[in-house]
Amino acid sequence: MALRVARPALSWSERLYLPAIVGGMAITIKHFKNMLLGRTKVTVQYPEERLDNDLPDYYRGAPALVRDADDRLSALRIHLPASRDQNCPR
Amino acid sequence: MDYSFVFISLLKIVGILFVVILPMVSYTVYAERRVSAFIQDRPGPNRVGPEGLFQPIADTLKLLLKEDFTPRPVNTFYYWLAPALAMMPAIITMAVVPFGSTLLGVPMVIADINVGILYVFAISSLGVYGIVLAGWASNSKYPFLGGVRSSSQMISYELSLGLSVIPIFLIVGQLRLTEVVRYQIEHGWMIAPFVGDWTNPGKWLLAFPMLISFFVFMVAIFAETNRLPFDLPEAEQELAGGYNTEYSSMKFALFFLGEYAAMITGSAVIVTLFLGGWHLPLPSWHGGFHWALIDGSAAGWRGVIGGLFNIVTFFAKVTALLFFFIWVRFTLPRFRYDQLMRLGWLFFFEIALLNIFVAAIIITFFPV
Repeated sequence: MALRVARPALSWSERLYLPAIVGGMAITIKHFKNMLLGRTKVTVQYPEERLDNDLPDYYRGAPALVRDADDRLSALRIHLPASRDQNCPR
Repeated sequence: MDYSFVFISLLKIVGILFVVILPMVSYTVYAERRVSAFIQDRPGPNRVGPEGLFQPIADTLKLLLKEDFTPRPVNTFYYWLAPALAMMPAIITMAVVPFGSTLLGVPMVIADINVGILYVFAISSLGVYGIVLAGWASNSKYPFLGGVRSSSQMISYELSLGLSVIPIFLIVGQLRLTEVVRYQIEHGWMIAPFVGDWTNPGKWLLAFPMLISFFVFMVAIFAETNRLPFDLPEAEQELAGGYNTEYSSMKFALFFLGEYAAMITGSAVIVTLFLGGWHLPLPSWHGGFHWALIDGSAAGWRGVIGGLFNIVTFFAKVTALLFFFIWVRFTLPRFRYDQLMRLGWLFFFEIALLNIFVAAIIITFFPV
């Protein structure tokens, strides 16, 4: 037996949907405006901006190319240096 | 035969098509990507050139250089015809829209014909053939569903599109689009009658049915151009791209260009009918306050500047509407198919019909 979920009773203004549409448009234009004014910090623009020098203290990983005995490329690994913190659970 | 007329018309066609419409189309695509990104808190395409402004050129080159692949099971003739049919009506519609006053005495409209808006409806509804033929000729399930959806959607919304503009022609009395603009210059814009005899109460009463007309016409244009929230013919999640799934390279690009060109001509028609066309009243205090009219009728360089100003005004209004199109696309979710049909047949059709009666009653009791 399927469970019947009662639909919420919408008021007259909710059934018109127009206030909700206007509200939604207000939200999107707010995001647009904040982005345009540079208030939203989105992401790192990689080649120009690099986080190498101000990584957080808890950062452990460093991507490294691992080579085997014949100096061939074997894998890309996340190298975890133990020297930074000996408590690191490796 | 008047060769200077032919030459000037050709000049206007080339000017409006290659200098205004096609660059506008490619930069609307760029604006769409950039504005959508900003709305979603992303930077968007910002690599090619300053702020990514050369992105459309890179896109065009990429599309031109891609392999043009034709799947074997397609009906080749219609498969090749469809992209052209999708692109052409959108551009031809622009012919009757007055995009400026006059420049050096030449009226800035390509074909000032007396059936104006009927021509717009007749040609723009041909755009559905491109989509239906593409869906049918692709010989594939999803494009076919997209094409069928598109045809029923266009037919449903054509009704409210046509009915919603009848009040305008009750008021103006002519179908010629230049006359509609001339009326709005003398008596105020259709939805905001500030200039002219704005103290007449009938004008302000008429602005209400005009606002409803504007709203219904706008929604119908959204549906006609297959824009979200009415983009069921190309609903990616359901139809894997819709009618253009089997197309590649420049043929795909033509569908894309056709959609955006239809958006631009749709906005141009909205601007002409409801937002005063190329008219922008500027306040003036020479001998008391009044609205100054700037057009290309003045002699010498003042006329040239006035004419150019009108063209810029017109396309600035069109650009504002295009921004609105993009803004709506990235706010509203898509309608379900039955909701779309219900909205078209049970709401907008009736609203547009009632609106005609309301406007007619107001015109009867408050002659303007």
